[in-house]
Amino acid sequence: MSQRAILWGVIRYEFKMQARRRSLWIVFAGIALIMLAAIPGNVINSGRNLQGMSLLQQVAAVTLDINWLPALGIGVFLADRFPRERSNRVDELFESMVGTLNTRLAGKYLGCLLATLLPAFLAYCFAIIFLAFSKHTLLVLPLSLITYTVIVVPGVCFVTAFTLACTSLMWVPLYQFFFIGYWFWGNMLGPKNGLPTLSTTILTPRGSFIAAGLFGISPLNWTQGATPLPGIASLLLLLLIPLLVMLLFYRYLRWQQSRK
Amino acid sequence: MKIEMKELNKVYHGGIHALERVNLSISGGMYGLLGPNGAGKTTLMRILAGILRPSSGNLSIEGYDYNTEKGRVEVKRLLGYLPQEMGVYPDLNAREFLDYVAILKGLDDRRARQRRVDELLEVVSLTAVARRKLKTFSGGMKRRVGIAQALLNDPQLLIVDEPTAGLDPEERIRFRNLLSDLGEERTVLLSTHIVEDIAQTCRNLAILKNGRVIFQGTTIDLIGQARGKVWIVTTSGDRANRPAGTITVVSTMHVDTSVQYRVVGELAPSDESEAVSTEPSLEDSYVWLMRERRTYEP
Repeated sequence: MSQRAILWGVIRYEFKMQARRRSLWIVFAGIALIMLAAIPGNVINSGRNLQGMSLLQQVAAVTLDINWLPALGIGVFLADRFPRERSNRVDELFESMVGTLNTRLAGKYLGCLLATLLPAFLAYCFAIIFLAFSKHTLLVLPLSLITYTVIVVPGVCFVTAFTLACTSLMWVPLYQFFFIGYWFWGNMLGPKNGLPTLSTTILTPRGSFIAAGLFGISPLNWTQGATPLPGIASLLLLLLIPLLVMLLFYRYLRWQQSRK
Repeated sequence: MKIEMKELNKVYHGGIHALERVNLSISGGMYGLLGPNGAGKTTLMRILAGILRPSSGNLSIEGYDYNTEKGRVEVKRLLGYLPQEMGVYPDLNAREFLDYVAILKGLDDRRARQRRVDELLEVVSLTAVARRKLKTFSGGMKRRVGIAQALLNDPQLLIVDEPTAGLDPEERIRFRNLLSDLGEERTVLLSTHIVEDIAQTCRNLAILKNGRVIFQGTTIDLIGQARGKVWIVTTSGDRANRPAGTITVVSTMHVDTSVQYRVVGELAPSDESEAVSTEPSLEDSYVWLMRERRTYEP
């Protein structure tokens, strides 16, 4: 069996194990309800925010709005995925098998990412279906897939890589505490309150620069007037940095193994 | 399957010598690895399973050089490993967990994989609970899942580390019988500190102490070393009559008003009239060997 076939198997099982977590669905459903129903000025709630925008921009605006959810969920629900290999003592067993560490790591990354993204994606689908009904066009559906892939997925890849890597060095609840804290101060309070954050840089996993640069959606001061260049740079960096992080993480684990 | 170890050393960080100049030659059938806790058995098992690398020395399994990545990968294809602390994913059921392990072992054909999983669930008598989550399994049931996962790829070499630890007597007997059956067709390396497990299953064994091999041979050879050193001493129930001298008490049994001691020692206990020489068991021989090493080793 090739490592590719093993990778597929690992993705399948990591997805299954993560998607079965009841808490994942409950928490996502709760946050989605708050976001869709309770936040005043939400694009879904008040159609006026979308006025004067093209259909693609309207879809991109909804995508950006809902992009609070996936990364937050990933930071919280992916944090225990790697440490539990050790706490469940399966790492030693798996080490004696032909599936290599990099295959298992890649499988874990993709399987967990996809499973954690699933409830957020379903919440997004509801918002998009709502938009499609209100705009009386099914064109919203393919456009939403494009905007989701471009605005949401890079940030999610970025957060996944850091979450898996950081939790190999850090106590899981502490990481979750810091991550939730950072997510709120970084995105709600921001630099105007004197707090350090990535949210004003092209490295923001929220996808603000991608949305501003590629779709002309600038709900935030610091992204206004952004050209496509920072948007593309943000997109590429959010995809390339996780690759680098995972490579370094793999090297670190190999180094740890060789020291045993 | 032939396993050859030459001058194998393992030094952990902090300068702890877990294995020192281990030379062992193992061929087919059941092979026991015996020794007290901390003797280096688990380290040796982990090296053989490809989890740890030796610090120096040579190891070859079926001609594959373990010092190379290629050699280790080839051996992993032929290997089944049951670690001392068998880990599972608690939220998977037994069938799913075995399927997942089969994937990691490289069993690519889905139908063949499922057939093999079902077959092994039957072998370890877990078919009826195959859909129950593993977190609901008892220690004995998890051990059985462990042996099933180790057999998924029909390994030529099966490494089992302390497989009966924590099992009740009935489970232990079941497990020993299963291992004996498996040993008829493949090499089974059984590491344990329970002498009875070796006595019941292995013809050949090695004994480790402080990272060194202090005995290598057959169980008969080991028993032969203790012949004439084992005694049964019967005393009255009074503790003051407990046998004294340079002996080690292996077991104590209360019989009516008297107490029967099974002891090992170079000389018979002081009051020879009450001491009867007896045929040594493997446990007596192991105690004798350990005692001798303790006496003469620096």
